[in-house]
Amino acid sequence: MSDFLEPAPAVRCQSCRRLLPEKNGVCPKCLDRWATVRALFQYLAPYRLPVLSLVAVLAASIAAELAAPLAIRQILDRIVAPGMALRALAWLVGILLAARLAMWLCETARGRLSVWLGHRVTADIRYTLFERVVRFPMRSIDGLSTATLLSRFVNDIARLEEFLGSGAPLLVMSALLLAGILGVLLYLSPSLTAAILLPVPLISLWTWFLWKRLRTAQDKQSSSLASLSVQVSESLSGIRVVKAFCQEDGEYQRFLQCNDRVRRTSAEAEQESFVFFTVIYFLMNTGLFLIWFIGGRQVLQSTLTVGSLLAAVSYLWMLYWPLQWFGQVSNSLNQAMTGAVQFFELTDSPVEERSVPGLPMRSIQGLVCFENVTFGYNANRPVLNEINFQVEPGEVIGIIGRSGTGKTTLMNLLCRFYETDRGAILIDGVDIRDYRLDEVRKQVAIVPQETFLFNGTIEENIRYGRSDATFEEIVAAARMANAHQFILGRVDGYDSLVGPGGDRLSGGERQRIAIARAILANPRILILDEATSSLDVESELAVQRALARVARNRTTFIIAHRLSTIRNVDRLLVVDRGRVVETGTYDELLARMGLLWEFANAYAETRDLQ
Amino acid sequence: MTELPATALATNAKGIRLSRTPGGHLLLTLPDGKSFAGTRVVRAAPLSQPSHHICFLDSDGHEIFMVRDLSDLALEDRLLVEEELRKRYITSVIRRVISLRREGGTLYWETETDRGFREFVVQSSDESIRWLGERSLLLIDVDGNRLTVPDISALDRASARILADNLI
Repeated sequence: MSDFLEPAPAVRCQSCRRLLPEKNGVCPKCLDRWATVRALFQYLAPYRLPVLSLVAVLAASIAAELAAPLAIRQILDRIVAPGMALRALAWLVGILLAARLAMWLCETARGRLSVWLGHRVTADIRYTLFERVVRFPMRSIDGLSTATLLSRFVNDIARLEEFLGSGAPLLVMSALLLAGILGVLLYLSPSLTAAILLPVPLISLWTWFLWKRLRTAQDKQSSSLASLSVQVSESLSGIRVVKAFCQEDGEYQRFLQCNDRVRRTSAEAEQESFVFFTVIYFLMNTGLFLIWFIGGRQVLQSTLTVGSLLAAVSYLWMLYWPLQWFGQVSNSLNQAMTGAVQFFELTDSPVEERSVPGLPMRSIQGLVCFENVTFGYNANRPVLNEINFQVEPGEVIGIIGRSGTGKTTLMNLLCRFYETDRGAILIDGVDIRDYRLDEVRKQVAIVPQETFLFNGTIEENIRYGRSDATFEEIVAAARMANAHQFILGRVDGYDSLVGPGGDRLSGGERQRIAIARAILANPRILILDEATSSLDVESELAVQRALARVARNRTTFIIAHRLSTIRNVDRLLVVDRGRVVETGTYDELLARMGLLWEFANAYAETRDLQ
Repeated sequence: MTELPATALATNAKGIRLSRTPGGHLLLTLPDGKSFAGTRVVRAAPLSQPSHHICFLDSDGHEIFMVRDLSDLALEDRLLVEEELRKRYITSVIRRVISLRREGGTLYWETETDRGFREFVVQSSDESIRWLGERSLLLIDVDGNRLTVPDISALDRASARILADNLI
């Protein structure tokens, strides 16, 4: 096996061979939009009545919009006609007013309905996505970076929301409006309709071409703003390092570069926008000249009334905007469809079935046996090879080895975060794959090296171990974890907020809350994964005392770097290059002068240096 | 299965005695005659369970014992404990909201509290504005002072409306 990793091959679309923007196999160019739209529309199914209301409101709005120029036509034609009754004029103005009022009402209703629907549907979509992602197997989660998942939740869903809330209604409205306008124009004057349609291909082409440039410029602008935000955030959060190394000027220069990029990209986006709309207006005016000339001639020849000419001019303005919207909506549709495909790809991925039928695990002894276990995160590169060991119920096992030798992986398999490639892990003589997954997780608790607490109170974080625990049980767990005293020292006690990720607590405090959480779950098997590695001496002592108390009567695995942590365990497993190479008590292994002996010497040298 | 010592924390409050030392400190005497001068009284969960789980700490901050409920104490002891708790947890109770102005993520309050008129500023964040249940509200102003609305529905209509418009 080579020590060097091969460069990851670029992923191309199977159909058009274009390079893909993400390694998910979705080609924005080839995706089946209609299939995706159909799947997306299933999310509208629970909201049939609001959807039908929205369509009705759109149709009414368009009818009112189309009626207004016709009313103006009638007014003009009758004013120029001799002997028009004031009563008739009042009627026509009334109709015009009613049309405007109806338009306003319909627009208000459309806005409300589409926003309501858009938010509802995207909330459902977000819920579905989250519900699936949290149940993904660890292998699937490993393949997705947090940034990618966040992008699905934030960017893709925002695009879907934009499309469903404004893009889709706009698309329907534009289509209906175009059909309506063309119908009325043909009714007014077929030859004038032909003249009006002359600049249409130009406007469509211009929109199609320039909209991409405009979007590119806007993308560059938002990307430069994101860079600026990251730069400022980094400089400020690392301000102590900046000051310690006198790098204020360097940071200032970096900021200048980012700021300058924001200035340039913003100006570029504005300029593209200006050019885009100026040309659109110009092309629309070209149509206007044509209509005035051809229509005016028809009026002079008395083949068209003045009212019809002015109505046609009004329709001209109304006609070009939907064309321009199509360009914009097409882009929004593209982005929304790409997001939707990626969304469906995630929601169609298999999830862990925690409650599939399996053996119950109500009361176990805690006998753990690894039998010929082989496993690799990548199937071609095993991390663990033919692992065999047995741990008696209530035994405390220390696992030691160099970084990256598979210690944590061993325990990940015991938690069933991953399934073994070969071999089996048995608890009380039964393969853990034969137990219900949720029951295995209830009986095997882990205190990871990187403690993660959720933004909430201390009580809520401990209760995470068992949601139905009483307050007394929570306090008891905190006491066992040596956390109770520092909790009482806080003004809000168990009601204290821990901050995002627990950042308001020290490392030792976080660890002890995590231990209390694990204790509350009351597992038969407990895994402590380098639980004290990042703590100062005092905190380490407090945590170790807690661990000693917790380990009683449980099968406990302690993964450690520091030998002091595992000196008193019942037995040690020394792991090296994916294999268990030594096993025995601390003193036995030292006497063998093997790998543990080497670690002990290195540890002693380090202590001497300190 | 190992059971958590759930009942071990609540010592029977019967037989304990509380008094004041000549210096005004709290003196706790346990049934076995052991006494602790300078005992501090704290709430384990002052916001969610203010009258439950009251802890007695020695002068070094170590827990001596915890009672589940204030009412478990004899009346004269309870009065002493309540006095201690009032000293530790200084929280003004908002009786009326006169005005509330929201500007750029900051809220400017004018209120009538149990300690008189109070004008204060609160940042609009979950840490500064904490809902304790559906009706109870805790505010921590920019100077760290705590103010509470124990029950929003008990406020006058105008105050409740101001809170509803700005916070709900």
